[in-house]
Amino acid sequence: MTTTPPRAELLAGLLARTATGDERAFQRLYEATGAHLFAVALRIMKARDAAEDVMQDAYVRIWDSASSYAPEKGTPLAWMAAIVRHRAIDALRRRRAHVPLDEIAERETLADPAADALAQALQGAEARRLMACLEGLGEAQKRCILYAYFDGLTQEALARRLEAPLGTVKSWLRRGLMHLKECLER
Amino acid sequence: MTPEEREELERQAAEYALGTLPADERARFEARLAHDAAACKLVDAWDRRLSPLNEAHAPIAPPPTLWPRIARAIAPRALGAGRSPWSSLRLWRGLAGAGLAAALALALIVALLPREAALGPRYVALLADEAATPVFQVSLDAESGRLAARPLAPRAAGERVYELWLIAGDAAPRSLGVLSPDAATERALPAAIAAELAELAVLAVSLEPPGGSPTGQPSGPVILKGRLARIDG
Repeated sequence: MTTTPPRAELLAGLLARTATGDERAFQRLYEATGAHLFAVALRIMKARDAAEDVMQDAYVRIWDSASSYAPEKGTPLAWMAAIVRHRAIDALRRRRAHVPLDEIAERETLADPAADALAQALQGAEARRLMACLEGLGEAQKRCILYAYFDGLTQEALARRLEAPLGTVKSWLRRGLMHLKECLER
Repeated sequence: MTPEEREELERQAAEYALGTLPADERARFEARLAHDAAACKLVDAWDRRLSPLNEAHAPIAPPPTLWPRIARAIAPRALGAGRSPWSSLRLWRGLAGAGLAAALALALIVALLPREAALGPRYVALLADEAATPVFQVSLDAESGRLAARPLAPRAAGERVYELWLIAGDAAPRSLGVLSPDAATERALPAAIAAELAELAVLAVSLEPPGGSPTGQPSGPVILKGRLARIDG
């Protein structure tokens, strides 16, 4: 498993071959990206078996929809990470119906994604731009977006975590996302 | 759509990408995504805006048991739903030499072609990927002007389509239209193109947006290639 992100051209080529049904290329794609995406799944699911299930669903979806990747959707790794995140959120929403509320709150106080360490971890140019725009939002708006992205929280869960009314959280999200978009488009 | 509606759609797309929508709103929005391409594009754009955050994670190796699970899960899709004579072509994949495999596979196809009275030159081609794995079988009948293409391992249709091109000699590629990835495609060939068919002309498949290349030439990556072989009677 590689530690530095694999080159976009390499992954795009493997995705194109996967689109033709090339299983060997798909396996190489998995080997190049699995560790990066497992970290994403693990952060949201917070449990290994659940993260593995999400990974299986996500890679099957990547196999099925490889022909729909195009460069305007972002880098291959970002496109694949989005698929993993979406499968993770789906799994969380299905599961949470059965998990007691206080257990959820406890699990969610793991590493604070809004901390400074985050800014240091993001190295790439696009990441720095995004971070700069996030820093330009109000503290509450920024926290909503980061907690939601990293921990897969709903509006309600955010309200509990930030100890704010639901209506206020909705407003933070709406304004925060709007300002974020405007900042990125400058 | 009013500006307010557009703004609300943008908000929902952003929160869908973020994952913050309450369960019922999320379900309704997902149902919308199934048929609303504009909404899908908004979600894609938000996924793209936020994705640099994923770089914050240090990679964590999944267990070695995960890949076999994935390989098993895709196996039914890789082999195709029904057993067809063409799936036996997979037997040839392990043979040494791309040329040998392709030639033997082609011989198998010719042997299995339906016996029709030959009206004129007929051509067949095996379109293979970079690893020389046959992916499409194509037959072209110059006299009747008929094209037939069949995928050897039916795949689910994705957002991009397979477009077939004829490259005869030094001429620019001519489109022969879009091929279905999971079923046989049959269509009539324009007379002008039928006249250009010749042994060893190249057929290629590129990945294009729905409806085919907007430029009239291949605009996406060329993923498959093959050469026409002439067969008679």
